[in-house]
Amino acid sequence: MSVAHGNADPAMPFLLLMPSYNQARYIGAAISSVLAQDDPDWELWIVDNSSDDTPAVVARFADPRIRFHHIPERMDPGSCLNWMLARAQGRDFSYIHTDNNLYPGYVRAMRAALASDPLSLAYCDLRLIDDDGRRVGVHRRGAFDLPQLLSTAPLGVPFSATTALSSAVGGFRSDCVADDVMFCTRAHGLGRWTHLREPLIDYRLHGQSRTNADGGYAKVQMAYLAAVKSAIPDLVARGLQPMDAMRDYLGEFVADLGLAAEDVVLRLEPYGVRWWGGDDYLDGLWRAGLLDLPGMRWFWQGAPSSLRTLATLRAGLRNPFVLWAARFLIRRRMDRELLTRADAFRHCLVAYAYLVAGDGPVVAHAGSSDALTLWACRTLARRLGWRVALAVDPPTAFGWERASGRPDAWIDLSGRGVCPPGVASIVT
Amino acid sequence: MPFLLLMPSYNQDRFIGEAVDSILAQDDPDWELWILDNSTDGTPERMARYDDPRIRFHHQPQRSDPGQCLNWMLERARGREFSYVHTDNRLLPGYVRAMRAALSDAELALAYCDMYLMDAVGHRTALYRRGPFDLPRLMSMSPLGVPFAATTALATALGGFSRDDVADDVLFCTRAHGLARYRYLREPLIDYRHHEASRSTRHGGFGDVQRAAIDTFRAALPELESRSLDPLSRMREALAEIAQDIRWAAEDQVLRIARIGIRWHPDDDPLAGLWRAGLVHFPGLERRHGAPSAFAVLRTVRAGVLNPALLLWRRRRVRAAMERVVAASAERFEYILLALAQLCAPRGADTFELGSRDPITLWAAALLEAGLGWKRAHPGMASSRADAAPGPEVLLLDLSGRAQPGAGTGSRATAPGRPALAC
Repeated sequence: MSVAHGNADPAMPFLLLMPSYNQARYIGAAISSVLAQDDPDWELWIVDNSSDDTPAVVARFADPRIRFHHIPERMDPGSCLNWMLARAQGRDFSYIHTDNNLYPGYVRAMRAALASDPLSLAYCDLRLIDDDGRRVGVHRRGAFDLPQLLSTAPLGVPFSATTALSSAVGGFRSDCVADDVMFCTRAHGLGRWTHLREPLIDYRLHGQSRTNADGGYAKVQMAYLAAVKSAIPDLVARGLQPMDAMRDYLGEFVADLGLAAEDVVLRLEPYGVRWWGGDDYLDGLWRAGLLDLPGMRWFWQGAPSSLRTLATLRAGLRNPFVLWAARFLIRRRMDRELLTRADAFRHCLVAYAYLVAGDGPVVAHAGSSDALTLWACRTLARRLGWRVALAVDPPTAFGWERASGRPDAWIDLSGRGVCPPGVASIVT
Repeated sequence: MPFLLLMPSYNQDRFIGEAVDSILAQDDPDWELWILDNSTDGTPERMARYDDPRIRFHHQPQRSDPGQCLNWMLERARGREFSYVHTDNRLLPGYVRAMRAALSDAELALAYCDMYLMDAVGHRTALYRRGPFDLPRLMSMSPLGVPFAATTALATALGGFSRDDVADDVLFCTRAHGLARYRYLREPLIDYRHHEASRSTRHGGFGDVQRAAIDTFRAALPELESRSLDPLSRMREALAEIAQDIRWAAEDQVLRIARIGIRWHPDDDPLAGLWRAGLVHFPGLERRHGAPSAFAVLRTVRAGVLNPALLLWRRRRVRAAMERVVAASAERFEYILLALAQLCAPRGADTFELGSRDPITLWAAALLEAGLGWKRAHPGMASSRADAAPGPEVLLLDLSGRAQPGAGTGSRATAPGRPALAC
């Protein structure tokens, strides 16, 4: 069977675990990519519930390291993984899909990344491929601290971990579509996590991939959110404070943006640009049309129109031409602060709002009309289907309803509004 | 145990009153201000006006350097935490409270905050966010220095401040790496003054302070290495990581535009292709350093691309995506590169040779020319002189990711023992 070699314990092959369901078209390529690994000490476990000709495709491969089990009745991926983990003997495992292709160095790199600690988890970057195997992008994965793990852009397949880590979190959950996300989230704070900063796998995005089969992106997002919600009690029981961590993360982003705006304003002053009011520098820049919040380009979404920009310049400034000349630099500076983190912020915001206010139809009131609050409201309206109305006079905002009645949630990122008692609040 | 505020003082009577007033206004009253004054100006008279018992003013006429002053005060003062502050800065009212809290949960701890910059008349001109410091950045041209706070136990563990060193604060913070827990307070807690009489100007301007910092790092290397830290390798890895991030981003963009019918020259490295098409800009790398001209862009578009109109249409988006990645780490790249080049090259070297012509190497070359005034040696000239190997003072620069420093491949460029900055 496996050959003894070098650094690895020959009794402990690297386990590649593959729940399989009706992907006969792709599984051959996936198995071939496993056979081409430059570290030969692996065992590929496949639990197959397919009704297509997957068994026939796999039967063409005669390698003794492939353990193929056909179980006709459909199981969810989490149960398949637990079934395999209960039977296979190994120190490390990786959860991979039937439609992905590993690069030759995958097993070697993952094994090395997991070696230093009995409880470890490792993940790599991905190249995205389409139906025909053409590469369509490079997906870099960053660091995952608690707010990221609990966001709508969490860590999932592909990843590797030690079987000891799997035992420590009690295996995979069988009641959840996002079983992989759930596993990684519950493993937070246990052992050592490594990000391998290079693509080691081709990840397929295609018409029959799980994302689409499970109802598309919106439904997968709801599955993530449900997974996040059910992971919270585990994390709290281990003494972590996930809600506080998320709120701190959101607050940090808001504070960083505010301080960057203040820096820009201070740097303008020597040129004779007088600040146009208030201590909310970020909101001022936004009202002057100098801040592009992604997804809020148009004035009917609440962003200032170009006419409004001119009005602001006329009203508040001694020297509008300097500002006009510097607007390119200002925008670039603010973009740099904003764009690298805007997506992560919104993914976390959506999850936080969901956890705070629940999954029903939500009517929310915005407690302030500053730029970030309106941006947050738009994000939640689009991503969670919330109905949002303004609870304050909207001096800048077009296209917003006036609030009436009692809301289910209160949104205010400026920290100035007062939330009515007993209402779920999303404030920083 | 009061919080110790340590202030070496020398001829800043114009500003010291403001500094002391800002300390008297702290909302945590449990502090002790130690001032060791070597001034020849009116500082003692000005300080005589304060009669708060928490101010310990000591006047010593003979001049000693700040490191000695700090050690003198640390030997005499009793406290768990201290902060090294300047006579021309202004603390915001929460400074002592926030620093004390940040240092409270570890025996060996170091804390620092953001700062407002202000000019000679006390007018704020900018807000400087300091960000996190890992070992490569601690050894870079943007290191950690005043203002910071630390536990006195950390000062003891490090044997205090160094004498005879202009960058005594930087050396202290760098040597603390691996011993202390660093805490970054993400808010401005101090007004930091930049003015004609400030230390960086008096010591010969920014260039001299830079050289002093490099000498400081050279002096710190043996100690860090003896603690099995390997700063130069960490710095190389940091540069390689940034370069690799930019390359992956370029590949991502090339793959994404390939979907809409834009074909790339097949044997092109994605970054080189984007760069030659004018879709990536590196700050500091201009046309005179080898960046492509507008005409070169047109040539590339004509030669390698199936559908140039689409490329023009996508240009903005590609540029924005690349700029996001480059801008995110451009400063870090520059500051680490400038320090590492000086630490790799022998003292006094000012020439480098390009080991490759990939965009990131060219970018690094432009930064070395602009930041250090170094000159680039032309390999053509060297080889024309009957394969004379370049002298040991010529640094080999190669950030293409393909260089094998000291691998002994026999090639002239990678000869072992040759000073090289390659990753």
